[in-house]
Amino acid sequence: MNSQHKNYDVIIIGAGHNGLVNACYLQKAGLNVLVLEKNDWIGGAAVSRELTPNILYSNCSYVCSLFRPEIMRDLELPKHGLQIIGIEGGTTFTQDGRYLANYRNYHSKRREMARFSVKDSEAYERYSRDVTRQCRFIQPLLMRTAPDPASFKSKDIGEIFYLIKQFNELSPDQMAETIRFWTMSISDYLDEYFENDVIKASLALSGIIGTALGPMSPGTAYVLLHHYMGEVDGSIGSWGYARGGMGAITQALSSSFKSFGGELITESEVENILIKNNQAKGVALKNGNEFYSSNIVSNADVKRTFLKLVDDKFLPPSFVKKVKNFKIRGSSGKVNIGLDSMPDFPAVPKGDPCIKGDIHFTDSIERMEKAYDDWKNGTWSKDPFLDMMIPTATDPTMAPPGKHFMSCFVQYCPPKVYGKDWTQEKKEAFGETVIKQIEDYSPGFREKIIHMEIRTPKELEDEVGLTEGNIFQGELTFDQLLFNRPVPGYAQYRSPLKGLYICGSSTHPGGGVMGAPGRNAAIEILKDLKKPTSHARSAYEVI
Amino acid sequence: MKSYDVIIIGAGHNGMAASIKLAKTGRKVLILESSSEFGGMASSNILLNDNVNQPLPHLINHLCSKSIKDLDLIKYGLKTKNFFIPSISVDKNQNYISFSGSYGSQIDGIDSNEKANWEKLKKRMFFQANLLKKFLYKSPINRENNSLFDKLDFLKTGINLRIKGREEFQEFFRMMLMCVADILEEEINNDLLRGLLAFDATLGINLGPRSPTSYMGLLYRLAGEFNGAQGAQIFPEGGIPKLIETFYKSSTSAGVEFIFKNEAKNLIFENNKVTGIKTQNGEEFFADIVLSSVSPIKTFFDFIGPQRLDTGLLREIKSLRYKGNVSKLNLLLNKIPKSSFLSNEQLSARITYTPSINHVEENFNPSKYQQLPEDPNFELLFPSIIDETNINDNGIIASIIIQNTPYSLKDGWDSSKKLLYSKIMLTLEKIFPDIKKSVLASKLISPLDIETIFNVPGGHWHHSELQIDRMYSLRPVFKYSSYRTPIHGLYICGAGTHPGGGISGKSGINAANQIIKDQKQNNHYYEKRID
Repeated sequence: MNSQHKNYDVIIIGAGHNGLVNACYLQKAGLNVLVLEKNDWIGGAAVSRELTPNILYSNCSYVCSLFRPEIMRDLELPKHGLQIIGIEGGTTFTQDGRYLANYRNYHSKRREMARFSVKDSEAYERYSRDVTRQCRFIQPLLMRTAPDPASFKSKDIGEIFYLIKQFNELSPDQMAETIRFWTMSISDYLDEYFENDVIKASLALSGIIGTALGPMSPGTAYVLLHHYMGEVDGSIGSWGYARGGMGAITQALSSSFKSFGGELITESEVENILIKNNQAKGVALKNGNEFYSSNIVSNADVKRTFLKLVDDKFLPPSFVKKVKNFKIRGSSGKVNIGLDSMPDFPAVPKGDPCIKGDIHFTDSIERMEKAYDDWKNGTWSKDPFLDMMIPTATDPTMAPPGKHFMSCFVQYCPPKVYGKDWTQEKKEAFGETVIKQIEDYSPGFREKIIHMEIRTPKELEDEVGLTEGNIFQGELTFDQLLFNRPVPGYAQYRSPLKGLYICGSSTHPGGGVMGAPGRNAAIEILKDLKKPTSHARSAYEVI
Repeated sequence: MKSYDVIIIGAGHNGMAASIKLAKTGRKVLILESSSEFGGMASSNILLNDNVNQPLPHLINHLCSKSIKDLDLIKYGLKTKNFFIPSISVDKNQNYISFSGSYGSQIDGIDSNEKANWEKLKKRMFFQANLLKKFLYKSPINRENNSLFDKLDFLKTGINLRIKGREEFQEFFRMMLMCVADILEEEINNDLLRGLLAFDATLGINLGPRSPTSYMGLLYRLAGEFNGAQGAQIFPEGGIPKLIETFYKSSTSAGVEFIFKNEAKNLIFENNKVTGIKTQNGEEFFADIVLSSVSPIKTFFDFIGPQRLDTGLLREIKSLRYKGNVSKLNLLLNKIPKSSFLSNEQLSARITYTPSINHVEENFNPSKYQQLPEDPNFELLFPSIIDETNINDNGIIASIIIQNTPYSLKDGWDSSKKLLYSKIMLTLEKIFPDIKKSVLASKLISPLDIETIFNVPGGHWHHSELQIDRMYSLRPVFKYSSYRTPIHGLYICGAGTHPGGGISGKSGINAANQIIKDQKQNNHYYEKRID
């Protein structure tokens, strides 16, 4: 191959959304960038795949909201075909045959809550104000590199002063509230506002999605915030579908990347990163090819990058230990279903838009927490918490008329069952648990299934390359946020090796289809290479 | 008309500590106590049978040398010779490790590799606990105490931390809010040791070892000291009742007046100022300052009353988590029990049944749903074996603290007590095969009983949950963490205030200092305050 002798300015390992965002910013700055992807498709966990004829599956990530609007504009993604459609509503079914709709419209949402508790519907006003205030505090930090508090460099000290200044702008009472918010469990936090179990359960779900924590674990209030920070069309906390599935995001990114002149090669799995004299030199592929560059960016998570792609001997032992101690815990599975027709939900009046959004069947915090207890014991939840969506009810481009794609995110699901590998039998039993739960609320559901894909953390790890199948590339607990993410001292996208960077969700600000880690990493790399960064705009004052 | 300078509600150790401080400045102090005894939750109100009693707490680890000095406890009979109590962590298969000195300076039952791991971890934990200790024994920074001078402590701590090196600095910020299980699993391998530490970190609070922030519980414990020995657990000579007596003696000698069996019913107000107390039997006592050492829930709801609280505060007080989850089982045995694997000498240790992290976590799970654990974790102490001055002619006392037994049970406490007793007995029999036959009397005190006996809402040992979101300046609530209340002249000093928990007397001392400071400044803060 000729290309193997060609020298690139930067090589990026992995064409996930963060890798592509990173690639776009670097290429746009005039660098010569190569992206290597192990699969024959791109997108990592933000993909649309035709797993059964004519139906597109968003088979990993399934909704969009966190993706930073600044990045969308910088990279002109709408021009490259990206379109986000807001979700009209969602619903939580109760065991006694009722439902609580969660409409996008604020007043409709409160009226709906009032059906369950008038007091809670009033409390919601207070709640949304308080949570939005926390968002406002945290959101500007997403698009900034976290400072290293142990460093005496002027930029770190400057950044710390910026953080202190941000914090000082709060009133003393708000400061106290912020500290409490960061350390509380979502269950305790909601108890301070609401009385009704169904309302609490429907709000608590954002606190646990993707994490190996239950709603009663301290720290889940922050996870809620992490999900709440997103926005669609400037509307905070709302979610949307990418038209054509989540792959539309990465397709648009790839198209944007290519329009700047970048090069992307698929089916090229990196075997290891070449190091010489403490400096990255290039990558060696599984198929024997080698590509050379003195700047390597890994979109893989921190464990995969430093424990698998780089030989131990090149890294300081203390760093390796820290990486090993980084907590990545697989806690969620996914069941993707192709449907013959739209399922019926007798509890909801016909035509109500609330079934076009996220559908849940867990109507109490206790049930959620019990699902977590099963996971702690080493198995999948027997009464799991589902975050279920039918994107094709809103977006007709993904399936032929009448047919539907349904995405069920299942919490909790371990990477191994009681310490043993998944077998086909167990996988099917896991899928059956999910189907059964849906069937309870939608009679005749089972007959509508035309195709089904069951994904445990194991499949996510094998296919996408996420360690333990954790969707955030690492737990969002305090010890792994901000300047501690991924490990203390290396939170600025750099590594102990010169020229080796990481840009995945393992880095600040963490997971979700957000793009911020990729962008922030690009800025740090450009600074190291003394290139201009003016094409990356800073965070909007959005809220 | 009886009038005083200060009236204190409740003769618990914090109330008495405050009274000593205040009386020493020449103030005329009255303590009103509803029961017939001093000591509050540490009093000897719990009779096992007609002649024998054993209080709720049996060990102390938070009485610092400064408090001992401030309260003159040595002069009134506190012996600092005392007994460092080792811990022995056992499982049902006769395995055990013993953990002695001031928090594990010696461990037997683990290999040398593991010892080195523990030493490393211990050194780091002690360093971190030491940094925090300073804040434990001081009034917290908050809306009122936030001068540059107050903030200097933070700066000093930061510098102390930074000069210890980059590694320690980073680890401090990483570990602080972690769950204790992760930290233990990173550093040590022995299940019994891990189990013991996980139990110590979560004892008395509603967290499991896998709940984030549970490491803070361990640091809180390690930040405690007895007369300079950090992390030590102490059995005071003569037991807890003797210790409490020194508080009482010091208090009466300072001139404090006690009235027992006279419960404070409500406060007497003049505008927004407190002027006295009306008691259950109709008597009235007057004072400019009233200090309540009872739970914040009771103070704010019963004494101040919802009508005098603004909505935000009312909401915040209502949201305090004050349901306890620790029970106490006292047994009277006719002889020293024989263990199948522990020597008689080892019976003077604290024996914990905490076989592993997962076991402690599984114990915690049912408590989230108001259920009792399958195989409860507990700690066991034989006060009469440890200290000969504490020997009772009627038999040997076994004092057992049981974790994860929630205040409200789905099945109700009445029917559950027997079940809990038999579960504990089942485990005890694995250690002491014939213990069941030697039981003369037993008494199980659930959090619900604690509520009724000691008048503490929720029966929580710390009055309200001692978790990170309710510590330091957030305890009991941010607005009133300086021991003040919205009522002019009314102060609080119970375990529900900073630093709370353990027999330290610190909440009382801090509150007394606050009162003295406020009165000295004379321009009382309420006048210049803008709410």
